[in-house]
Amino acid sequence: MNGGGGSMPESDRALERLQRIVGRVLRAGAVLSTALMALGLVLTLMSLPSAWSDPPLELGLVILMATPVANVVVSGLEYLVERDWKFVLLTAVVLLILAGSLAVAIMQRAS
Amino acid sequence: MPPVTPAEIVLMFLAGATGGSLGALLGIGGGPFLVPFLVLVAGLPFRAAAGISLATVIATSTVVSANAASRQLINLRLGIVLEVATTAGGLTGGLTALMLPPSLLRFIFAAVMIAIALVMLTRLNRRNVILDDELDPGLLGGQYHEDESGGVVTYRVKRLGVALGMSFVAGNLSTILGIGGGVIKVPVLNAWCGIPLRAAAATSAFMIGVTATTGAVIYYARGEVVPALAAGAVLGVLAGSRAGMMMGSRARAKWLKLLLALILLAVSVLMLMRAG
Repeated sequence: MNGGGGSMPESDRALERLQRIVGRVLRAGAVLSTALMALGLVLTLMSLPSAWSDPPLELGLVILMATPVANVVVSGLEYLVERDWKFVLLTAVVLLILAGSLAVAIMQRAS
Repeated sequence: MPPVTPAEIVLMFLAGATGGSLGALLGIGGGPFLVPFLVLVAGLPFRAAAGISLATVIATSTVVSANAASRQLINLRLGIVLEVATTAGGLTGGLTALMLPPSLLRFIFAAVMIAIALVMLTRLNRRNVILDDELDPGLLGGQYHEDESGGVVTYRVKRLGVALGMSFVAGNLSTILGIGGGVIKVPVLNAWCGIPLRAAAATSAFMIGVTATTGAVIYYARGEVVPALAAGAVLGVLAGSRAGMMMGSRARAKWLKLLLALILLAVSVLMLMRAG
């Protein structure tokens, strides 16, 4: 419940929780994507065929681009749990715009 | 697509490291230095350079925001509100970039960077911190603990419309030019909207990852971002910005920023000449 005055400590705790979750997502994305890209680069530098080096490079890039999106998703879920509808809506709008850019990307790929 | 040579990867890493460290020293991110390097030195087409640079923006945003110290400065609520504007700007920017000829893109880049360099030269050392923990931060304001003063800094957000408008512009230029865009919105959030510089910078650094993604996926899908080159630049920028921040905290010399702003100015003029 977040109506009326809204007790300050309650919302503080919720905000802290969200900060922790966001931090965890960011760290996981950063570690995973940089590790994969570094692996791919090492394989490329060793002049191994691109069938070896391309998958980790591509996956690293995709995870890198997915990390901020994942962040928006978990923030939205967290606001949903808190029943903070205003922010659920705002998060949904941001996700919608991100989906729009993905749609443009897919159309570019197809054409 | 020709295979990427080890020399090209090393060049990307060095370009990223140089751009990342200079950008971190000046507090504007790697893009403003990386994009001209990729265009003028590495000879990449503008959109390829912007795409690679956007990948480094996402990486920088992710790593900086994951850091515990900056995490408590990030205003997540304000962030999601402004992200509505930055991502809308980012998506339209990505679409615009597809329609504009590369020479015009280079021209816009140069013009914007020259403006930024000039603004940087006029406000080299600004801070604005209000120590008042009685203030009600409101729905979008925030609070953080400041180590140096040992006090709690509380702030309210003023002129949300201005913040939203500027965020749209920053998002737009971010995906068109391949820069983070913090350099455009942080001064406005700080000077006009009442947000302390550190909170504005941390929140902006958090937002630019989401913003850059709107453009990055489009460039990536078009095949303009060669993964091996992007990976080299990303790792370079991460290494460079770490070094830059360490140097910056040790020697916060004004003349250094002056020098870097002048370099940015010179680089932008070079880009302008290429645009003609």
